[in-house]
Amino acid sequence: MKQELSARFDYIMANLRQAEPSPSFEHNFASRFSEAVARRQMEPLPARVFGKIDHFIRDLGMILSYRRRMLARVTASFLITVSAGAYIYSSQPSCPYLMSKSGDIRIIGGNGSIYGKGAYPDKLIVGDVIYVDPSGQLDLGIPDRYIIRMKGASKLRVASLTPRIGKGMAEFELIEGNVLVNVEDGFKGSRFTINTDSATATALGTKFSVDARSKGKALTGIRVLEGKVVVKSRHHPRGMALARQVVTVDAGQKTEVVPDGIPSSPQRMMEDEWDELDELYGLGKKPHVMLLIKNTPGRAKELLGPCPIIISDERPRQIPRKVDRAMLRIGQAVQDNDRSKHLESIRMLESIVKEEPNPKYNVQFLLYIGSYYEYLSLHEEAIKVFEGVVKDYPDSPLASIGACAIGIIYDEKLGDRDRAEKAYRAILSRYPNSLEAIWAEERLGIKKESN
Amino acid sequence: MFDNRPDEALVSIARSGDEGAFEELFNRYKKPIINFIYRMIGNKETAEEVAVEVFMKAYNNLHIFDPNKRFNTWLFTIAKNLSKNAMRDRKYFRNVSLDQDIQLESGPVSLRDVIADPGSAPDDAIRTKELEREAQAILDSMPVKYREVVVLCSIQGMTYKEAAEVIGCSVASISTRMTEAKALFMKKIGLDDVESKTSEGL
Repeated sequence: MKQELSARFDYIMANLRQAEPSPSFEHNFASRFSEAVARRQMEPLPARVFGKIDHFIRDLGMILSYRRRMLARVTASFLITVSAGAYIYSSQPSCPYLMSKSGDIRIIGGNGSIYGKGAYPDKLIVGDVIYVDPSGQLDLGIPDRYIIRMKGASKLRVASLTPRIGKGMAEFELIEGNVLVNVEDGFKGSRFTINTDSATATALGTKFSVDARSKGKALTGIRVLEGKVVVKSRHHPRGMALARQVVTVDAGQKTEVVPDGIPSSPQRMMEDEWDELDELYGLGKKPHVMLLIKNTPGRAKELLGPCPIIISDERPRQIPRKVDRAMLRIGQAVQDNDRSKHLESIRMLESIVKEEPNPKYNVQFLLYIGSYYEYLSLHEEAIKVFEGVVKDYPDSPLASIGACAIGIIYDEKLGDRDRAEKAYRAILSRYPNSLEAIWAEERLGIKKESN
Repeated sequence: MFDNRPDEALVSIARSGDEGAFEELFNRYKKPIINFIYRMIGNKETAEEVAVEVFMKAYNNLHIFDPNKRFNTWLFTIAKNLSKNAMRDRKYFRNVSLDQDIQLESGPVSLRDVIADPGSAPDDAIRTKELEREAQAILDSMPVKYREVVVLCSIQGMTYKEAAEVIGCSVASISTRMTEAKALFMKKIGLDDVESKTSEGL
């Protein structure tokens, strides 16, 4: 009822008689208004001009202040949105995931879930414990940041993961077994640590192995392949207050830590230990892309053979999948002896270098592309590619091969002796200590003075 | 010539020296402004005098009008301020005390009847001189803070937001004042007992 009365009140009030302006009102306004207009027009010209300028400035000020307010609002909204997004993104831990695996892998999740037999979580989270069967192997990590290769009979726990932005941290606990760690450039400035029962190994941008033996003696062995690793006793040794608890292990060195003990002084790894690591982790598969040529002064000639190329199938794979397709295409082109398929293969290789450049394989691929052109008797194209190698990768140990290949093509294929000589002399000046310098001297008829 | 142009565009033209644009604004707002002032101060002649002052003040201050705001709320703000000045000066104030009981004229139809019983009078009967006087007498007896809300929202048909802009307070305050103003109005026309009886009946 109250609402009805209220609505009725509004209705009655809105429909009350409206006061009509009297003629005197109109007359009063008209006379006052014309006076005001006349007064304005009577203003001297400078005053009117200044008045207009004043109005313009006021209007402009109002518009600008309005725009400033709008700009401030938009900027503030943008900053708040970006900050909130960045905060949400950065507060998410960088979770590693399983990259390649063989054999039986089991994961007991930090949340109590159990994974295995082909069903695995997308990402690993803090608290997950990963078991690798004695016959298995597992690579886990984040590409461009770090990769951990777990060998058979290893058990690893994800101990701590920190936000994605800023100084990140990844901490794992090796309960037993062996792991090889590769901390890559993308994790520089962040902290990577592997803990065992007795030691803590912190990487300083490096590649190292940690061996936590569970059977027999509980001893942690750390071997550093590249960079440096700081190794610290996990527990303070009893009765050794002044003992040095921390050692820095350089590349090619090793240390061992016994429980409640201190790290041994770093020692150089023996040849058999390198071999052992080599065998354990398949390190011999480096480099990723290899030209199969002998290390002799005639290797440039051999390259133009053309030489075979070997592409590592090492896991985790760092070579683009496109390479497989390119190699397949080359095989078909050779089988069919089809020039257009050969050219298509070359384009595929060129696109890999262009679209997915990587200093690990760029020069090898370019040399191979050059030799491929030469194989197709496209001498000018081949020279262009080799010139590109010398120009773009002058410090590569393989650059002298490209320089020499140019000389050989001018000399033997194009019959341009002058240019060939020029190319050979360039080798002597730029790469005097290379194997190609010997080839160039022979071709130029220069006899090396014996000491 | 200026028929379809928005108020703010006319202000802009008037500022550049075109008197016709301001005359158009005057024609658009003369009735609402007179009625607003009239309902505020309760005297038509005085309301017209104040209304002229309102338009002259607006014309002389066009250069400080913020083009990003609405012209009508700006004009009503001037009208409200000048109305209050007029009431404060008592120059135009009528001899009605705010504490004095209202002596309602007993016409053929009273405000109480038309509000309490919609069937008691046809719509045309609402627009009678008697009802208008009765309503005005009650408005005059109400505190200004209630009067201005009733006049702006119920009589001029402004939204609470527009009224809040004119008065310079929050929308919530307008809503509260409106409720209190209506309650006071009902009390003054003797409808508060009807309300309470109805409430008890419910």
